[in-house]
Amino acid sequence: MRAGLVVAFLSLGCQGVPNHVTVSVPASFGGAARVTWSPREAVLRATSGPAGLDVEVDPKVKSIRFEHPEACPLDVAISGSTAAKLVPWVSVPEELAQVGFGQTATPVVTAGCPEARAGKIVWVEREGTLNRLETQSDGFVVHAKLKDLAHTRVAASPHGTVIPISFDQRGHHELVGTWTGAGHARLELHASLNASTRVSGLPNVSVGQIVYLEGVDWAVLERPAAAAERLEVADSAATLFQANRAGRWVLQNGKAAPFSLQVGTFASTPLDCGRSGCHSAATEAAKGSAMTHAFEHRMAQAPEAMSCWLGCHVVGEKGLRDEGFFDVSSAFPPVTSAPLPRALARATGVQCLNCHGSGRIPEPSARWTVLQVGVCATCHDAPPRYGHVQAWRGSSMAHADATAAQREAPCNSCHTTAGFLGRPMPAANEASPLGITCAACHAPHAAHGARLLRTMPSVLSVETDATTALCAQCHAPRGTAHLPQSTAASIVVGRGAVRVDDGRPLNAQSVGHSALPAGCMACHKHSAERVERGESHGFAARVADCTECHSERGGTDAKAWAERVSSVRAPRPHQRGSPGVDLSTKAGRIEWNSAMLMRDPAAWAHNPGYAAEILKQIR
Amino acid sequence: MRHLGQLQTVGLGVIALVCCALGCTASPVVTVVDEPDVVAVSKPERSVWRCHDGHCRRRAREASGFVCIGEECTQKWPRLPDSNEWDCQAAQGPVLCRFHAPAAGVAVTVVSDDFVCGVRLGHEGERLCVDFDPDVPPGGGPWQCRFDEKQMKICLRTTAAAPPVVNRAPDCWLDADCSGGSCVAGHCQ
Repeated sequence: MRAGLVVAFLSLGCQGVPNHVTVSVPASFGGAARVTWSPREAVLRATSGPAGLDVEVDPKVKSIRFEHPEACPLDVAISGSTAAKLVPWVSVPEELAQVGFGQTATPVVTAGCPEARAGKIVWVEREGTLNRLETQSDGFVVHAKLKDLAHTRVAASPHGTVIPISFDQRGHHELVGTWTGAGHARLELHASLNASTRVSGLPNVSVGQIVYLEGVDWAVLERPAAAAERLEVADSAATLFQANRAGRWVLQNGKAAPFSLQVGTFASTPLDCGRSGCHSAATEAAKGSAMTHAFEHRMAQAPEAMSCWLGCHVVGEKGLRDEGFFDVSSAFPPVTSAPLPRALARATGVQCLNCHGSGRIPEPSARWTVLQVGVCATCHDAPPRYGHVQAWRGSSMAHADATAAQREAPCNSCHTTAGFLGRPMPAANEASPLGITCAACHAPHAAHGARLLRTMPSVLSVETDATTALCAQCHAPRGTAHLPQSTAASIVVGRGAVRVDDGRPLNAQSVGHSALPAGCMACHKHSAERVERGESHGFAARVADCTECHSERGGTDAKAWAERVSSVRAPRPHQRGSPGVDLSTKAGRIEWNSAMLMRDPAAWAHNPGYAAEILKQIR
Repeated sequence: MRHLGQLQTVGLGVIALVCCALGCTASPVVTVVDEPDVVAVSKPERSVWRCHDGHCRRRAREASGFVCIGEECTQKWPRLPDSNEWDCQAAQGPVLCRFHAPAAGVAVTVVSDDFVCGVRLGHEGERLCVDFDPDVPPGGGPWQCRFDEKQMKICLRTTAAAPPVVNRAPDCWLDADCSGGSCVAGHCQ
């Protein structure tokens, strides 16, 4: 559409000060409907009629920009000689939510007026690594080929479940285009492309959400009435699934057991989860949680940066008709401040449905899926800023249930998250490794302390901080029927060993480590890669942590300690069935102490005095 | 394109749009775009504006608009008292809501000023709230409205005039609450 002629003239006030500017707006402004201007206070009066927009302005204002969503902006300078000029306007979709892994995105680039189309756009990728970026027609046609799913996957997912896709794995690409045209200033354009939305890994997805299933031999056994799905091979190891209606799908992969997938929308699930008889205790515990109030807090602290933090502080995914925050917000004017309309307010915060939604909760046999790290990774796997999950992946915790034996009783009580929490275990054909995940230590809706750390009765016979008490659940002896399997927490507090002569408890003072406010995490706070937040989830300790307090290294170090204990007879192996021990015999007590000592490889650092005393007892 | 005609809107010193005496055509058009949240409107269209003491708020900022198919109009995200779960009824005129259950995992908002609240007779602590100026679809009424199981508001045009209502805190939900009388818009009659 050709812009119309711009004419402006002044009307002089009583003192010769111009106070009335008449602008004949371009034809592309479409008769002045939906015209906005800035600065807002510049316009005192405005009317529009057949001749255009008649504007009376504050004489102190030097320039005004008139804008219309479908035209190039018009800058009007208010001075002795009034001039008007069109500012080129080019738009691209702000975000393409689920292009698909390995697919090519072609964001539509729109020129607001002929002046804009006469320019050229150079595109570069600011974030991500595309497979290919090609442009045509002076940059107004863009083809961006995204990487395959295989490039983003960290590990195979449990058989029979939806493949989790974290914030970092969603195939996010940020394109920046620079528009240049004769006689006009440069213009910067931004486009976000995502191969996928974030997916928690629960068999519970939103209507229209593309998810990936492990394996390629999937068939649909049941679907809701009048519903249809997209089911196609995504790559050699995964199948793409997308449902067009809410309801229950039953799928099967080869000869494996049928797999039930709930499809829904967030608002289709009432939020009264806490009704009496249901989950009232969980609801009560969640009331004060920082997760619940995440939106309010960020809104109070950084409303100007809302576009950055919003996605992880509300329910739902951008670009989906999932009745989450972004979807609901399309029914309202732009949100700039509180209070929000009720429907939007109910979709704020990190609440029940962020982890358990979007629709009906999974069937009982699949409830364990909420324990996957993928649930938290939708937000906490966003390195380098939010590196909780990245740090965790490099830790032993992530591999605690790597072997089949570790996933079976009794080992599973410390080697699997479900076992640790006393929850039903995944069925045998789904029992792929998950690791000791976030849910083991963090309890958003069970008894918790700071940082949502789960509060559990201590297994140690001395008072400790909450962190040490939590770690001790698995890093201290559990009773005396079986040999200790992991003893670091008990060595730290100087408890757990026995006197070889009479079997009485061998107690000692801690060297002070147990008095550290963060307990075990005071030292075990590093990961292989540096991240801004969440690095402690690597759980590694470094020598530098010791020298923070111990400026001069003492006579004990790892090498010297290894020599000292080399003569100690190793206890029977740490293996399935945790061998029993008879503490009524001297031999049994020696073996017990040997296990106490040998199953904390850093005993020499945790509590050198106690370690030396145990060693003395053994000898 | 929204034509507000010869309309004067004065927005709390932020913006003023009037049809000026000079240069007006016989049928001038004033287009209000960047309007503030609260404005004074001389002849507000009830389905668009919610007014109190001469100051009006655009209804679309607080509850979603109606989508009409034939004579039936549906408001997907209606105005309710707060972020908790409510059961509502509308019939002709006021919207009456009964507290159903606390919303879980949601930061609870304060009860909207648009509702007048009271306690149900004979049901200690059961909260009732009534909105005497409910949202209605565009175009002339009166409307017969109801809430479905998902608390979406559905309105049908009717010919029956709405009965008069008393603008005070509600105290009944069902006729049975009224000892032989009837419960109209939350009040025993």
